[in-house]
Order: sequence, then C-alpha cells, then structure tokens
Amino acid sequence: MSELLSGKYTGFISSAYAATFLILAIMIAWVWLVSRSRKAELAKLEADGLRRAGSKT
Amino acid sequence: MTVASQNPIASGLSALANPTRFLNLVRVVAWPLSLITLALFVVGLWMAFSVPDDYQQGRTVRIMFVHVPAVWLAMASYMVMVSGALGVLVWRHPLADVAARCAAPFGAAFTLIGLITGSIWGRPMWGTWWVWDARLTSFLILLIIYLGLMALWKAIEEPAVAARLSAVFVLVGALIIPIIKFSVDWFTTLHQSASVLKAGGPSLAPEFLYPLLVMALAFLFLFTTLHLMAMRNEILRRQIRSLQRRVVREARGI
Repeated sequence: MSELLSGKYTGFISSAYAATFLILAIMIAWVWLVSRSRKAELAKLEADGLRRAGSKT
Repeated sequence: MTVASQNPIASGLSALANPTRFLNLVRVVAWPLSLITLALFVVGLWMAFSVPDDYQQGRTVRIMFVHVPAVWLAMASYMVMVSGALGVLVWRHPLADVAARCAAPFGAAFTLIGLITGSIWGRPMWGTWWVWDARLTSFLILLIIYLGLMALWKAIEEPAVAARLSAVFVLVGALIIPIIKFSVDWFTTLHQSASVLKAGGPSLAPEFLYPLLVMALAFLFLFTTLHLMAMRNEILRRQIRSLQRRVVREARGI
C-alpha cells in the first residue's frame, strides 16, 4: 500500500481506484436503498390489504 | 414455500419462473454471495498492491486491476441482457425481462468505470486522456446503448410491449460486442491488443495475471449479487403495482 502513496503516478492510480470504488459504492447503495423502500411500501400495502380483507368478513 | 421443498436446481430455469420461488432463492444466497464478494475484493486488492512495477508501465499497471475487470463485466452484463432478450422472445420466460432490464444499469456503470479508468491510464501512458480510435469509440457507443435501453424500458408503460421491444433492441445492439472485442485487431488503435482472452492463452506474466483474475472474480460476484438483488427489487415493484391496482379495483367495487 505504501507504494501507492508514493511515486510519480500516485495521482493517476489513486484517482482510478477512487472513481471505481465511488461508482461501485453508488451501485451498492442504490440497490440497498431501493430494496428498503420497496419492502416498506409492500409491507404497508399488505397491512392495508389485510385490514381491508378483515373489514369485509 | 421453501427453496428446498421445491428443488429449483433440479427442475432448472423453469422452476425459477415462479417469482416467489426466485425471491426465496435470493433470500438464501444474498448473504453468502455478499461475503464471498467482500473476501474476493480484500484478497484481490491486497494482491494488486503487492505486484512489482511493470518494466514499461511502472506503477500505473495497477490501474489494470480495476480497468480490465470493469471492461469484462461491462460486456458480460450485455451478454446477460442478450440471454434475457432471447428468454423474452423465444421462451417467454417470465423472469427473462426482469433479468435483462436489471442488468442494464450495472452494465452502464461498469462501462463508465472502464472509460474513466482507461482515460486516467491513457494520460500517463499514451500522453492523452482520449482519442477517437476504434476501441475507445466503440466502448463509448456501448455506454450510449446501455443508456438508450434504460430510457426505452422506462419510457414504455405497458410491461409486455416494453419487454419485447427492448429485447429486439438488445439483440440489435449486441453487434457492438464483437466490434469492441476485435476493434484492436481490425483497426489501428492506440489501445493494446488482447493479452488474456486470446488464442494460445494469456501472454500476461503470472504475477499480474493472478491478481487480475481475482479482481475479475470479485467484480463478477459483485455483479451477480447486485443483479439478483435488483431483480428482487423489480419483482417487488411489480407486486406493489398489482397490489395497488387491486386496492383501486376494490375501492371502485365498494
């Protein structure tokens, strides 16, 4: 790792890795946040649906 | 219903046609896949920064360990979309459209990583950030195709029409993959020709090849994990839509 932090091309190497892991992190965060919101939305709808079904019987 | 009781592996892809069964499968494999991905990245990065300097490229050879896997996955994602498109048009598999649709954003992201890291690598090695040669231009076209397909999927409201129309465009766009692959052989480009995926085996020295393969495996596992989870998100979105419609129908019926 010390090799990365010294030398002539440090800026190029670290910015390539930074760009890569920034985009990968955005991908992971996007999937995770969408998953959370979908599950919450589905749980809410199912709860509403159950109440609706319950009120009919 | 459990995965084991339905034995989806034994009954093959058709067993996964049932979204509930697919959701159960994702629930089972998500954590193991995430842990394998993390372990591969840790080992891959450790190997990547333990390699000696290249005699020509010096330390910048380390950029290869993110650039090349990203480029491979950019093209592999497209092949996932192609198989999804065939699944839609030929076999009418219910999850084929979901698989194709969910691969597009990741393919676009990997293509973007390939373009950015390639550009950053090109500056010290070629003396330029960008050149309009066959390899770089065809890869930029791949990004545009990905973005176009994502827009197409979003633009068409009716899911069946969106699925079939996009599938046709995915197959037409697949022409770019061999063009990217062979552009370095067919045309004079600044980009080097293949040194791993080529006839006669890799010409890359083992001390560079092994970290590259581990990083490629890490990217592949990351894609697989995220793709399965994105497919789950898409199935949930469809379930939410049908539930909302049912709620509206019931409200009108009352």
